[in-house]
Amino acid sequence: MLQRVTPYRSAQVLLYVASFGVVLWLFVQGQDFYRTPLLERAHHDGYWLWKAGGAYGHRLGVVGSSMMVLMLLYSLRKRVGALRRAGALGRWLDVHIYLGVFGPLLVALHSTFKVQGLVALSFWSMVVVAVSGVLGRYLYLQIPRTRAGEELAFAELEKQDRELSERLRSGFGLDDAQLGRLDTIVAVPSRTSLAAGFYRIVTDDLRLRASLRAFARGCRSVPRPVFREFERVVRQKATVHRRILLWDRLHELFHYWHVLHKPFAVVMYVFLVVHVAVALATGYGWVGRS
Amino acid sequence: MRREATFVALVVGAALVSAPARAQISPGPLARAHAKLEGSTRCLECHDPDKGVSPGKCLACHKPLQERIAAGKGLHARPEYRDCKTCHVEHQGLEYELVYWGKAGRKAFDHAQTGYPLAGKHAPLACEQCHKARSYLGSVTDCAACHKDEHRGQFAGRACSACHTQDAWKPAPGFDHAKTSWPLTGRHAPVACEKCHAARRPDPANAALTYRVFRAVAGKDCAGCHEDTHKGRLGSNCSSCHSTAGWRGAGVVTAGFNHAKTAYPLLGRHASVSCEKCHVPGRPMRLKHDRCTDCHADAHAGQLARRADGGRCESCHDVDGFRPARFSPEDHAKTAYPLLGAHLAVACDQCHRPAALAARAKGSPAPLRFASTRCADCHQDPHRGEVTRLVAKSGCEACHRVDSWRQVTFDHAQTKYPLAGSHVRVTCVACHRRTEGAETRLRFAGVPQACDGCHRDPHQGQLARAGGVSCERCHTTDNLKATRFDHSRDAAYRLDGAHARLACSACHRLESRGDVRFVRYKPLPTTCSGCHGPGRTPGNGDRP
Repeated sequence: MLQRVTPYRSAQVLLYVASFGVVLWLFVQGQDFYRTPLLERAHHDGYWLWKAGGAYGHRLGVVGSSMMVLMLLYSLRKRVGALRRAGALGRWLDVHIYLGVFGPLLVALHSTFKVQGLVALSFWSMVVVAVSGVLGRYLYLQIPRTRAGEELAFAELEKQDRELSERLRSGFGLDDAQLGRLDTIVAVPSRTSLAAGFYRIVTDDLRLRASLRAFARGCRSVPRPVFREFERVVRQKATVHRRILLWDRLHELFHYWHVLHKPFAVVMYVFLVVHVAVALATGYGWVGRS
Repeated sequence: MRREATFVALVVGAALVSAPARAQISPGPLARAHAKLEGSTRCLECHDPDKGVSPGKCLACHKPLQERIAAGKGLHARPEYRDCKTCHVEHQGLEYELVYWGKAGRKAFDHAQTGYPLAGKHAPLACEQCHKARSYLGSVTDCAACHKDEHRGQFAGRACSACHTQDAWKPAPGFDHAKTSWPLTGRHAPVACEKCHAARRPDPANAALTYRVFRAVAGKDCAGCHEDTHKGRLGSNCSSCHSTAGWRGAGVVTAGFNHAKTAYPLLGRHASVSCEKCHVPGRPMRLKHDRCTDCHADAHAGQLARRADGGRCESCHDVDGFRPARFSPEDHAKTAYPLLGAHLAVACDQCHRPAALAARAKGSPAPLRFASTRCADCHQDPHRGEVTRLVAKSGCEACHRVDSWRQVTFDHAQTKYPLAGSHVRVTCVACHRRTEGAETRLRFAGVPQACDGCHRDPHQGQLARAGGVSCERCHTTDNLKATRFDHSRDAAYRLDGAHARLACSACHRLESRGDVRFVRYKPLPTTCSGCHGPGRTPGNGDRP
C-alpha cells in the first residue's frame, strides 16, 4: 500500500525536517570541538560547553537518553493489555521511530564521538538498535497492513492482486503477456540465504521504480491522458505482487530482526542505567554540573 | 525469548564482571600523576555526588597548596584559579599534561599572577631554572633559594631586594650609603664602590672564592684611602682643613685651618687672601716666605736695591697694605732731595708716578730716583720761556721758593727798569698782567717802560710834544704831584704879582669833554683881557 499525502504525513515530514535541522545545527555548532583530537579537547574554547558533561553536552545526553527511554512506551503499548486501546499501533510506532532516530543522534552529539569505556557498549548497542530499527522499519513497510496497522491476510493480498490485474487488463487494455512481464519484473529468487535474500529485496526495491517506468512506457496502447493513472496502478500491482512473492521471506526476516533489535535494546538500556547512575554518583546531576 | 535473555546476560555480564571492563566505567584514563587513583571503585575519591569535582577533594591531597591558598599566597589563591578542574582537566588520557598553560604555552604565562612578577634578568629564564622540583610551589621567591649570598652574611637580616633589583646584580639602586654610618658626600659620592671597598676575603666555604668586604671598611680615617701629601707635618686630622667637596678649592675648610700654627702666620691683609693666591694649585704647599718678593713682584723694579738695607720691602711697607708706605718726610729728608715747603704736602705719586715718565710703558714701576731735581723736571714753565735767561742763570729760585709759588722774591733792580718811588709798592701783576684775547697772564718780556705804557694821560694830550709825553718833566715816581713843575720856568706865561698868589684852579679850570673831565692847561689866553674884562667871570676864562 502506498501512503497518501495526509496532514499527519505532512506534519510528520515537517517534524523530521525540523528535527534534523536542529541536530545539524547542533552538530555545526559543536563540530570544531568534535573534530579536535581527544588530547587537545580540554584546551578547546568549547570544552566546557560541548564535552559530554558540559553545559550543552550534558543536556544533549539527558534529552537524548530521555527520548530513548520514552521509546519503551511503544513496547508497553504492544505488550500491556491495558494500553491496547490507547491509540493506533502505527502512531505509536511513528513516535517510537521518531524518538529512535533523534534520541540516538542527540546521544551521539552528547558522546562527542568519543566512544570508549563502558559507555562504548551502550553507545554501540544504541547504534545497532537504531540501525536495526531503520531496517525493521523497511521490513515493516514491506509487510502489508491495514490502516490500523494490523497485518493483512495473505488471501486479502491475493485478492488485491487479482483486482489490480483485472483493472489493468480491462481499464488499460493490457494483455496476459504484458501482465506476465510485469510479474517477472518484481520476481524474486526462490532460494537464497537469509542475508542475500534481504540484500536482493533491498536492491530490487531500489531498482523497481525505473523498471516499472520502462515497462509502462512500453505499453503503447495506453491512451496518453490516463498514462499517469496507468503508471500508478502498475506500481500498485507490482508492489502487491512483490509482497505476495516475498510473504514468507519477509516474515522470516522480520522474525530475525526482532532477535537483533530487542536484545541490543536491552543491553543499551542496561548500560544507559549504569551510565546515568555513575554520572549521578560522581556529581553530574540531572541537569548538568560541568 | 530464552535466546534473547541469554544474549543479554552474556553481554552485560562480560561488561560488568570482567575487571578490565569494570575499569572502563571511567570516561577515560587519568593522567599519570593521578594514576594511583585509577579504578571504578575510586571515583568518589575525587568526585562528590553533590558537588562533582570540588576543590576540597583535590586540596585534601594537595596540602601544601591548600596552605598557600589559606594564606592567600600564589596563583591558586586568586579567585579565578580556585576551581582546580578549570585548568587541570582529568580523564584525558595517561599522557595528558595536567597543567594547562593556555594556548600561548608555558612561556607566555603571566608570572605576576603568582604574586611574584618576573622582571629584569628573571624574565627570560626557563621555568626549570628556578622551579627545580616537580612542583611549582616552594619558596623560590627567596633569593637564596637560587642565588648564593655574595656578601657571605655581611647583610644578614636584610632582604636582597632592599638593595638589588631583578635587572642586574650591579648596580644596587636600593642601597643608600647615606643610611650607613658613613654617608657619602661631596666627591666621595661618585666614587665606584670598589675604590673604597677593595678588600676581599676568602670564602670560608670555598677557599678558591673570595668576597668583597663591605662592612668594617679598613679605616674610615682619610689615610685609609688617601695618601698624606703633607707627610704628617699637619697632623692626622685631615677634615680640619679638607672636606669631601675636594682636596683643593671648595673642599678646603679654611675655617678649620690655623695658619698661625705655621711658620708664617697670616697678618694684616694676608689674612684675607685666598689660599690659592699663595698656595697655587699644582705647586708645593710649602712656600718660601723670607722675603716679600718670594710672593710679590718688586713694585720698584730694583730701584731700591742699592739702599743700605738692600731694598727690603718691610723698611717702608707692612702687611696692612702696600700704601701708604711707611716713608715719612723725615726719611725723605735723608735722601738727596729733602722735601721742604709746599713739597711736604705733595702726595708721593705726584712726583713718583709712572705717567710722569712718558717714555715708560704703563704699569711700569713708579720712579723713585730721578736724574735731576730741577723744578722744571716736575713743574711746567708758566712764563712760557720769557724768563729763560734768568732761570738759566739762577733757577726758578731766583724768584720762587718751595714754600709757595706766589711768594715771589725778585730784585727788580737787576732789570732794566729798577723800581723807585711808588713803583716799589705796586704789586707785580699791576704792571706784568697782560690780557691777550680771553687769556690773562703775567708777562715779563716786552713790558713797556714809558709812563704811558701803564698810566693814562690825564691831561688829554694838552702837554704832549713831539716824541711823546714826557711826564718826568713835571712828575716823579714818588707821587703824582707835579713836584718838578715851575710855572715861571716851564710855562710860557710867567706868574708874578697877584698871579703868583692865585690858586692854580683860578686859571686852570675843570672842563669836560664828553664824559671825561680834565683841567685845562693850554691853550689859555696870555693877554689880560683874556681873563680880565667885562662879562668875564672867573671859571669861565674871564677874570675881573
